[in-house]
Amino acid sequence: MSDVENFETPDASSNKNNIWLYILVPILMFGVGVGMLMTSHHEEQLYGGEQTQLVGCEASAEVNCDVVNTSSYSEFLSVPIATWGAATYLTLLLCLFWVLQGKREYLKGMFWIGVLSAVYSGFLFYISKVEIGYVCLWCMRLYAVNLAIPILTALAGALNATISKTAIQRLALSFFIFAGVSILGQQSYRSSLLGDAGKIDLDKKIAENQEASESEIPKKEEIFTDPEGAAPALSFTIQTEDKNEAILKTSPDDPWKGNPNAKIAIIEFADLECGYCKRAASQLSKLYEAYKNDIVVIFKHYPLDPRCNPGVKNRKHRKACDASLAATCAQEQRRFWAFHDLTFKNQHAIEKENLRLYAEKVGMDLKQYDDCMSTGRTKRKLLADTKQGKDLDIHGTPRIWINDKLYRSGSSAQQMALFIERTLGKDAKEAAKNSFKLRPERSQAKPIPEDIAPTQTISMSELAFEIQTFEAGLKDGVAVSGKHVIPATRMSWFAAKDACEKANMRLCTEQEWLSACQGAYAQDDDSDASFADDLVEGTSYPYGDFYNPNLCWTAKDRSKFRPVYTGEMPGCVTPQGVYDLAGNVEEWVGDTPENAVLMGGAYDTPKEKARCYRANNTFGPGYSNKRTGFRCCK
Amino acid sequence: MLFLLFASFLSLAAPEMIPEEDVELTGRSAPDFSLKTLDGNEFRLSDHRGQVVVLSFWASWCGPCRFELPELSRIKPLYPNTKFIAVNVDRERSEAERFLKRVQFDLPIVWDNQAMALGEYSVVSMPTMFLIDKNGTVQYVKVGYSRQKKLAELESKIKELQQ
Repeated sequence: MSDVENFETPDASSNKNNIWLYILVPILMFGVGVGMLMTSHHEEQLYGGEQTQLVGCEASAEVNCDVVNTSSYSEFLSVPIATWGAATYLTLLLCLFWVLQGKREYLKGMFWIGVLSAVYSGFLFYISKVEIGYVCLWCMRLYAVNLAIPILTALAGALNATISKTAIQRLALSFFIFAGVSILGQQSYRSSLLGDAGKIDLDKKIAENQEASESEIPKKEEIFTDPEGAAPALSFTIQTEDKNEAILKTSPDDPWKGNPNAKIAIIEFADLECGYCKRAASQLSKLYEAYKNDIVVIFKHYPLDPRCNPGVKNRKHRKACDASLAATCAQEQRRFWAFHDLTFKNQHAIEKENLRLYAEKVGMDLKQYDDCMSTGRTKRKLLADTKQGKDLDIHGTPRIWINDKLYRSGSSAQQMALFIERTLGKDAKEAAKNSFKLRPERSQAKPIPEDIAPTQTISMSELAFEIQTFEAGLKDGVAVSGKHVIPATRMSWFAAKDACEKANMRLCTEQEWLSACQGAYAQDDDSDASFADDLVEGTSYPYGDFYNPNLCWTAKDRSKFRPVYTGEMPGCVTPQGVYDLAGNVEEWVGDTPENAVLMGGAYDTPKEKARCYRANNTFGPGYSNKRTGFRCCK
Repeated sequence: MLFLLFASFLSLAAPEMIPEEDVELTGRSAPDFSLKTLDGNEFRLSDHRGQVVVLSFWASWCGPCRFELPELSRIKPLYPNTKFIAVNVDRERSEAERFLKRVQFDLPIVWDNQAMALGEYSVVSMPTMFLIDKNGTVQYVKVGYSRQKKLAELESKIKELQQ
């Protein structure tokens, strides 16, 4: 009798609670739908011939589904997260069907899948908000679905339910089947979009790009000279961000490059101090290289600095006005684009005296430059540009119009190339194939070979030296370099020098270290024997021009963090194969106590500051603590 | 799903941090050092064994030091048996001198431009203060300076050590 009661009680209550499960049915179906929508959006944005606009996710300063759903976090094992999500919801729908048939052993499994999905949603939300800088409204809707699963299954009595081994096995099997079908669908959709373009060898492309960047050291004879003549007179009717109709016009005194008779114009409003503009500039320069005969590129100043942009209230970009003025003076000497590129490259140092140095570097006449900087007419040009920007309802930078189509920060060269291809009259497949060539490079860390050499040979201009592959560890007081070694900490310059000498090596000089890190010969522009305070000749970080929080061990500034073993960050590597130059432990360089400097920042160095040209010379050579290490050269 | 989550966790596996070390100076023997005072005399810490010593590391660019040093100077006469030493760690002497023109205090200053003492004491931020007992053992370490709490904690520790 009691057995019967024990058996009946949970069943009776479960029937009462099934209402929660019925509510879950449409929610999961909604999840499957959104998963499919986001998968197709992801594929179309990255591989498609037509860029569909996602309804229900209006882009703004905080919201941008395009950027989030095409970021490197939007794929897992090269499959869009949304596809994995759709497969999970399909599995849960099947479980739900079984549960409603009375097989309650699946309920607990559903609950735990829901809990894990909700936790994963939290992680993704953090990534999107903090690392990417935008939220994606459709992703948020999926997070809500993920949150609903554990709540509704718990209300339906999941916590009291039991789970059997068979249930787990069936659940896993169902997931594999649904995932397989979903991935098959997604991959065939991708192939249909790509046509032959998918066969491009991406590694080869990246290698080509790296080769290109290695030979990027500006030489005087290669300095780009602006084309002669006034900017072409162009006019487009556009819809502004505030949904007003406006006329976007060029002015004869706008800086421009490309084909003045081209049918396609790229008109960019940018601020030389804005980080997103720096990124946009790198994308636009890729576009220019690919389409210079088909497009004309026009620059408009929109410094977010109240001194030459009366619409701006805050004073975050205090150097932007000077930088724009200097660029306008560069334009007077037909050096606008060269100055623009150099200023963006050195965006961390654009004080007036640096701007003047950049003017000199791009071959400007400094007297003419100084005269230009002190006249009011330069500023009048800026005021005209910023007024035009205001009339076009610009709420931030960069704002890029390709004819009448607006692109904002985060738009990739590939996305813009697709529009150009279509405007040039290419069919969808051809357009996708051609724009695919401008696909953003993904920084994918390659595993470090077990037999990697302890030193790497660097040869650049007058420099030829060997540098330890990793931050040095200590073995009986001798400096050693290898994978998975404890990097020496609490090293003073004296101790580091001693450890290198015992290994028949020496400490690197600042010039050697910096050259190895930035992948280009470091020059002492101001002849002060320090190299890190000068122009960036190569890349800002060992791995490239832009900060990536996942590649080096940086910004770990809470007490629970310490340095990591060498080689734990395989993506923190230069093209020549030198690891961990940025972050982890600061590294002593210098051949005398007087020029002893700590380079590259440590594990706790804030975000983008842990870069190649971070030189810490605050304290003398005896300084040592848990952040100070070294590596040797010879 | 389980495979996905497992793989997901694998891909997020945290890089392995080096073992934690115990480098807390409190309770350990204070590293000895010998430095020049600003007026050129030799100062050796071990010469003051038998005396309670307050060692304060400071730099010209350190904001809180502008308040901490005058406060140390103010309490110094209250503890005549305690030796107060301000260790300047600027690389350039001219920077320390510029600071001394702006901030008035009466403490013996030693100049550690090579950061030798700074390194021995593993100081990370400024100001950092060490209280050393008569036997040369570090009894108290204080990082930073609060303008509200001032040096109340230090004073009570000095009193304890002098008993």
